[in-house]
Amino acid sequence: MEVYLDLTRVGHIFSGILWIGILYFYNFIQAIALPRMDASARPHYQTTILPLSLQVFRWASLATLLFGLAFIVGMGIDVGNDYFQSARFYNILIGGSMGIVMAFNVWFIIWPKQQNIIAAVKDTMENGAAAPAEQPKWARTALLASRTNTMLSIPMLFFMVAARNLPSLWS
Amino acid sequence: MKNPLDTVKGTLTAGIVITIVIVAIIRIFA
Repeated sequence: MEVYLDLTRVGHIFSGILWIGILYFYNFIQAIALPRMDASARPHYQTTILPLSLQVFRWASLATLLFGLAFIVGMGIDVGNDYFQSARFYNILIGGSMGIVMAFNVWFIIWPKQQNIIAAVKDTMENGAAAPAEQPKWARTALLASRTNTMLSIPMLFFMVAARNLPSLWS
Repeated sequence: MKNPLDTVKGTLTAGIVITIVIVAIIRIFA
């Protein structure tokens, strides 16, 4: 059981860092630098780096979620019912709920909208098609969901770390 | 157009405020 818990914990932390790292790249670097990029270069970025980073981003978010759930189940089996009434679990519950909302945003808002944008940019590059009228709306919705995730990541990370390092929070 | 750096600062501030509010609620009621 110990090995299982170690592996799920490490898997959760690694994929979590990968996911949130890319999220921070999108919000702290790409959101600022992309509008400054030469307009002729932007479509190349949007059809090479963006699809690959989104691919890693969304699978990392799913892996984080699954490793996290697997860890909680493992703790429930290992420690028993006491775990679900511990300060550790309460912290995980708050952070995990935010993480679930964030993963939902990735899979059901950010990814579908970005997929539309990438397809439209590709169509413009390959066939010279005009950008669809909805494109700014897709970009705006994806940006807002991404920004919400960045905002939620702060309390999420706090409570994830608090589970082991701030047990006095609940006393 | 709004400066993107201000938006980043706003996002981070909102995240910190949410954290402080939840911690305060736990400290007061739990």
